[in-house]
Amino acid sequence: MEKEESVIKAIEEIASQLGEESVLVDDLDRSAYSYDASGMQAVPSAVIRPSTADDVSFVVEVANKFGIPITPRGSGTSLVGGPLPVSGGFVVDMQKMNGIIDKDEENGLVRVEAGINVRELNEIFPDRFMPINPDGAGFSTVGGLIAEDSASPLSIRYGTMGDLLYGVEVVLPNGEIILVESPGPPSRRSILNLLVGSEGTLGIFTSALLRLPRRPENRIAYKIELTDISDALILQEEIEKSGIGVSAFEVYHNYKELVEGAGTEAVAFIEISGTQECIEIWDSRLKSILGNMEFPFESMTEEKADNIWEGRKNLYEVAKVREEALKVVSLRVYPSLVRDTVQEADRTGSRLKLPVISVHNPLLGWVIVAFLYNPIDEKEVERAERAVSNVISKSISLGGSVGYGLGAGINRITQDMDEGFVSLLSIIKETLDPSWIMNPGKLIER
Amino acid sequence: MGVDFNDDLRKELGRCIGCGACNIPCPMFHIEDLRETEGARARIKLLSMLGSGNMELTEEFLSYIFTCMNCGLCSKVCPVNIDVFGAIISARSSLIDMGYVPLVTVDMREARRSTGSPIGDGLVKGVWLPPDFQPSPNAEILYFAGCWSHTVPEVALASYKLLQQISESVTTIGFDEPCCGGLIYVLGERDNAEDSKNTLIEAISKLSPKSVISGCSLCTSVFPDLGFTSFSSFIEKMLDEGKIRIRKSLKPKRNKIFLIPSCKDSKLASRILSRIKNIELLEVPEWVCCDCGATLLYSTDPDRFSRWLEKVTDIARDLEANQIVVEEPSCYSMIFKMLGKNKHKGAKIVSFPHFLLELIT
Ligand SMILES: Cc1cc2nc3c(=O)[nH]c(=O)nc-3n(C[C@H](O)[C@H](O)[C@H](O)COP(=O)(O)OP(=O)(O)OC[C@H]3O[C@@H](n4cnc5c(N)ncnc54)[C@H](O)[C@@H]3O)c2cc1C
Ligand code: SF4
Ligand code: SF4
Repeated sequence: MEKEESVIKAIEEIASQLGEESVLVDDLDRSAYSYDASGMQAVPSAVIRPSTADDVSFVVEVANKFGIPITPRGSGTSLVGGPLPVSGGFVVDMQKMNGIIDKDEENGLVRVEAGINVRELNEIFPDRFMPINPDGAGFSTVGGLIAEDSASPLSIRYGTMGDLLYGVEVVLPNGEIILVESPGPPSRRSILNLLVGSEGTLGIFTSALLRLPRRPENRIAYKIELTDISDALILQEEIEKSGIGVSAFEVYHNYKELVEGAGTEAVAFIEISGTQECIEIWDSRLKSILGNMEFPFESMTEEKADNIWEGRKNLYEVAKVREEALKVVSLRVYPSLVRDTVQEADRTGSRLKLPVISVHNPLLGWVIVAFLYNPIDEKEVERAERAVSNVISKSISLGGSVGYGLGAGINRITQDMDEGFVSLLSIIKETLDPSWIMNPGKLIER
Repeated sequence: MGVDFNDDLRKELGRCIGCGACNIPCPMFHIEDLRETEGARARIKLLSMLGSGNMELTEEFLSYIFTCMNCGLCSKVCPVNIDVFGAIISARSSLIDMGYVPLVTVDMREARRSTGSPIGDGLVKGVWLPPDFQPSPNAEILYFAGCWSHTVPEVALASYKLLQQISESVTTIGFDEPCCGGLIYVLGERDNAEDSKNTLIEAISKLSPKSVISGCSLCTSVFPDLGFTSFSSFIEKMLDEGKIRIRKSLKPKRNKIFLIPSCKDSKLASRILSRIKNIELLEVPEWVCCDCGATLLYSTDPDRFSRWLEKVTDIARDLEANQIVVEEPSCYSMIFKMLGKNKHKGAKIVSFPHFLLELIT
């Protein structure tokens, strides 16, 4: 590919400041930064690997001068194409900035560079942990988690990434480095929250102050067989009424059929965690609810319980057993619409002849739909794409919103879906990034 | 250049969801400061692009696909059960079958033709044995040293002596011990690897030993059908059964041990070492392991092998290790040759058989 003169000049300037080894231009490297976990692809003109916030600021200034788009990238685990340079330009790989800057054990606070991953966060304090581990392997970076406001099965208890964020250093689209952090705990969150979930469109995070919660002493997980999805909603009501503080609750629709070939329509996984005493009380209450409702269940502790949430093992179990690829979409709907949304996903799957598994979290109204397809059958790949768009538009017409946890990414948010959000964000974007160089093509269109 | 992978391989590559879990244990990813290109995920993704015609097969691409530590750690973590390393090996052999032999393996072919082993370097086998050594038939244990062990005679000898502590009836093939073919198998030369293996099977069956203990863990893992037991797992079994005992303990100033394990079972040697009284076994990152699979990197890209070594020994130094114990003779030999000495950054580098022998006798 012939590179434009401005791109060549910008690359030269950046290489002379950051060093040749921090600017990757050959075909292998560019291709290696052309994908994430979404199945989509876009090849950058170059990949820049900064080591400091000043490096990032320099890169952004140069990109601005030449009007070249830049796309921040963490570990590239996005399921929605977030780190793909859809308008070309540079990918800024943040993974080299993965240090721990300082920590305050007493308050569970830690200041880290934005490229550190969940695995490394989990090693900082012996008795604290990172409850948001979206990809399961702990590969996602803090920058990516903030940019997507990532959620996890434990979000019922711990919230989403934004809830753990106490401050952030960000390089704005004009290259300015800004620290958004109160001297004490955040008391006016609005500006911080503007950056949370901004999907790399408003700036590049270079470091963050996080508060990690304590690891619960004990946990018990339950695997419960449900006849259909309505059972899940009844179960949710009973749990809410009884005051059991579940830390995770997910229902897998079509799981047994896809993994075992037959069986009940839905399987629920619930976790309770806390001290021994509190767990004992909740355990007996939960067991009596399950007994009254005559739902068959098994309970698990320790490693077996942990395994359930890691990377949504059950969801990927399906792809594993069936040896097929997955296309995933994440939605959030009011609890009363969960059932309709899941049924809509099933209908789409059967119309397009694709097996489908839905995971929903009844308390959050979070629904993840995954279509299985054969990756070497072009028609099936195309049908899987169509299935995703179909579920998104159906869910919007039912009254759902797109992008909870995973982010909206490429072409997922439209004006008619979220008019106020799009108008406001556009104004902010125009102000901060008048040339729209910062991750264009994501979250909102110009 | 166009390539035509079979449907099974294309599907296996296409199933990758791109989660990146296989980058976490990948030593190449860590050697290169987490550069995506070098990790296992990129190898799968780029091969998938190659198979679907979205990438050109260049000489650079070819050598990229053939050059890694060949540790296989990437295969142990995939959430959708892709045998990542297996897929890389299949792609390599398909490329070779299509006539795309990378320059990086040409030397190995030549070495194999001239010395019977792909590791080259004017390898002479059996220098650790008496010049008039003859293998004995029907022995209880046949020690298969593996090519690299012959390059570090003291390690081969230590292994042999350890086995002699266990049984009076130990033998080895000696001067003309064939290569098992494991290394060329992982480099995609399926047919040649099969030939090598068969030559070895023939040599062993002439001696009809009761069991074969292999000094190279790549041979046992690539060819389970050989029925070999790896040196370390045999030692563990013998310790369990009380056939040998660790008698000595470590001196206080020499007890911080950093283990570079074999890649096939990274816990095995540490289980053995943890039996030693007053040992302080240091925690090693999961991407640290090394065996004969590293040969290609060592011989064709020594700068990168050296970067791996520096990163690993930096970690050992930060943990204040007194000794670095290297489980695999192949890895010990590569490290020793690269450094030209067995002390580095304040730690003594010792081979596992040697280390054990001293504590057992
Ligand atoms: C198997 C699997 C399961 C998943 N399950 C979940 C789930 O349950 N919940 C969930 O929320 N997500 C899930 N995800 C998606 C993904 O893990 C998260 O979105 C994660 O936060 C992305 O982190 P990353 O470091 O890989 O970022 P990337 O994928 O590299 O980037 C994601 C976005 O963040 C931006 N970005 C990255 N770093 C920075 C930075 N320093 N500054 C500014 N912007 C930046 C990018 O531009 C992009 O828009 C899953 C992914 C996989 C592969
Ligand atoms: S075999 Fe080892 S070095 Fe090669 S890609 Fe897999 S993990 Fe990386
Ligand atoms: S672990 Fe499996 S699915 Fe994930 S990137 Fe590697 S090969 Fe792909």
